[in-house]
Amino acid sequence: MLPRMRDLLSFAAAGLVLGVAACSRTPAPVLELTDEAVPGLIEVELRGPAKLPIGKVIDEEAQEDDLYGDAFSPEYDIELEVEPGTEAEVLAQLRARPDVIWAEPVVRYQASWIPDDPDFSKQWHLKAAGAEGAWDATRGEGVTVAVIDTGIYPVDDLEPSRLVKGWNFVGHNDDARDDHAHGTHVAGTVAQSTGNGKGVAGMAPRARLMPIKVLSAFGSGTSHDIAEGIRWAVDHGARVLNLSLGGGGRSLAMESAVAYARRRGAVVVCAAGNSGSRGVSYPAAYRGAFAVSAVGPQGRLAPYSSFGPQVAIAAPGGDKSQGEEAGVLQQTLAEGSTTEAAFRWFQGTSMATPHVAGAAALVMSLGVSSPGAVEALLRSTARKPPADDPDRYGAGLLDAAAAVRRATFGWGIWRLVFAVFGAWFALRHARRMGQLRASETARPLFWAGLAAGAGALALLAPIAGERISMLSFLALPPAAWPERFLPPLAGYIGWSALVPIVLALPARLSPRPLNTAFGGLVAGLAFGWAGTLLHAALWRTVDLPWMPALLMPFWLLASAVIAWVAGRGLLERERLR
Amino acid sequence: MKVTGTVELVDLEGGVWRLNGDDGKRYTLLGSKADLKSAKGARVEVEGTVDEGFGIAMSGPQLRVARIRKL
Repeated sequence: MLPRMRDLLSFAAAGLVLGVAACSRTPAPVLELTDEAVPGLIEVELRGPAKLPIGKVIDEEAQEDDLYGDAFSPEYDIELEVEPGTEAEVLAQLRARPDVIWAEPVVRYQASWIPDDPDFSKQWHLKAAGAEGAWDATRGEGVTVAVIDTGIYPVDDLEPSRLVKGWNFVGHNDDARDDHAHGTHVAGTVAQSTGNGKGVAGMAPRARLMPIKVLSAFGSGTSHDIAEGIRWAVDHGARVLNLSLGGGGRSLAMESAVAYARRRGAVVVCAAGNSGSRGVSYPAAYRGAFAVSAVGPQGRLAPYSSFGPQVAIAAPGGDKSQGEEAGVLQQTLAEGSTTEAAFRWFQGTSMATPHVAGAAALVMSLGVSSPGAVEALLRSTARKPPADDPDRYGAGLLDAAAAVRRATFGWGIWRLVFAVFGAWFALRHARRMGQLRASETARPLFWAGLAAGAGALALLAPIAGERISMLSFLALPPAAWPERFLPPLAGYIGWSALVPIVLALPARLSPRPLNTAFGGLVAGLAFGWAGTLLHAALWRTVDLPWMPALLMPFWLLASAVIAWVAGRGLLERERLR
Repeated sequence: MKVTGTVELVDLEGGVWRLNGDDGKRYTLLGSKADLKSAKGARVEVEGTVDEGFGIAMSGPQLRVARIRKL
């Protein structure tokens, strides 16, 4: 009795659902023609097979659409090819037909994370600098950017936890709040809160900001204070310095401060100047500084931008001769106020500079700790400028997405190639000596360990790394983890053979193989680690405290060899193949 | 020193006060905003000190205003 009752009830429920589905025809959602629409392609859903008078059918299939279609019979889904440019007209015609359920443009979906900040769409400059494409792999986690400027005011679109302790060299106290608007605007371009549903976005929204106030409410300061500010920032952990300031006089104090910062592993990004003529201002013109010229929305040098042989790269600084919205939009202090915030369009080489500082932070958060490597990466991935003129554009137009892609995908491949080659060489050698026998469990673990050691997960970072934001460190090879999470000196733990050796010791010291699976994993990890170290040595991506830059590649090379030997030793021990 | 010229508010870096000097040089003016606002567009004589100091303007020497007088 009961089972029959249940059948009856479920039959009635199914009927009800079907009935509701058939009666309620929700109005179809409309995808409109946007930049993402594929030119000349339209998708139509029809109630039944019909010949359409327009376009060429390139794909056709009967399928059930229980959302917008009829619950009792299948619908006809057609992909139409039309003359590009006529999409809007064709869509209107199709939508007017009674047998069309819906018609929409075919849209290309990209992997990129698009933030929900309402005015992000007005920030042409962030898109031009390649921020969107970079955010899938990193948002600048773990890097501190010092904004050496008029201070930073804690406006509401700047997450308070992003601000670290700074210093006020004008007032000689720890209140480094902005009283001008310039520094806050610059800080916004570096790390405005992004994806918070409010205001606008910034280049490296998860980087930390260090406010260093060296300029007064007039926007002017002394060489002494600026030099002190540079040294203070580096001594307190800043890895990127943003100097959106300059002057015509060469100061030896400032020059030596820039050299000090560079030697201590910081990238010193400076504005080229706003003279609109030849002649890069100081500090941008010092050796060791990374000078930035400014371009407008079309990528052409802005009329106010200074230029000269010291220019390293060009970035969006706005060109308001083309209208207000051709400026750079960030939140800062309202005009004439020292407490109220406003979204304002600024232009200047000062606005171009933080785009580059933000990009440097993005790259550094991927474990590229040598300032020279960061600069080389940004330069070599820059887009082609509108004119072949290095004095105006340096290496080209900043492209943070390309730099991030190279540091994750490009370098990931190299590390893996080196690791596999090292493992192959060791295996071949060992086999020749007749030391190996097959081991079923160890082999897959060996290759898994190798991939992990070489940071193979970084290959996936450009696609989805940041979707799992808590795990963004997986885009880094394990050798770079200690310097991300521990004090800078801990970088030596990762960028040496210490980890493979420590892991290999128990297996190596025991009279019999401890555990073949564990041994296989560690051997693989050692070869992966060796590949990572070799890549870092050849590309000079790493900078460690106290280590002279000249010695660094030799240290890494020696460590790579030791890691390889550790892996090789386990192969003999664990009898792997 | 004394410099004569015209005061202009340039839309750079959020707003920079500039003196287009009769000597052909462009000076970045540092001084009270109220004084500069009232002199905007006018021909003036500025008394003050000139230096190659550092700041956000990055477009010429700085002129620290001690006194400003409309001509």
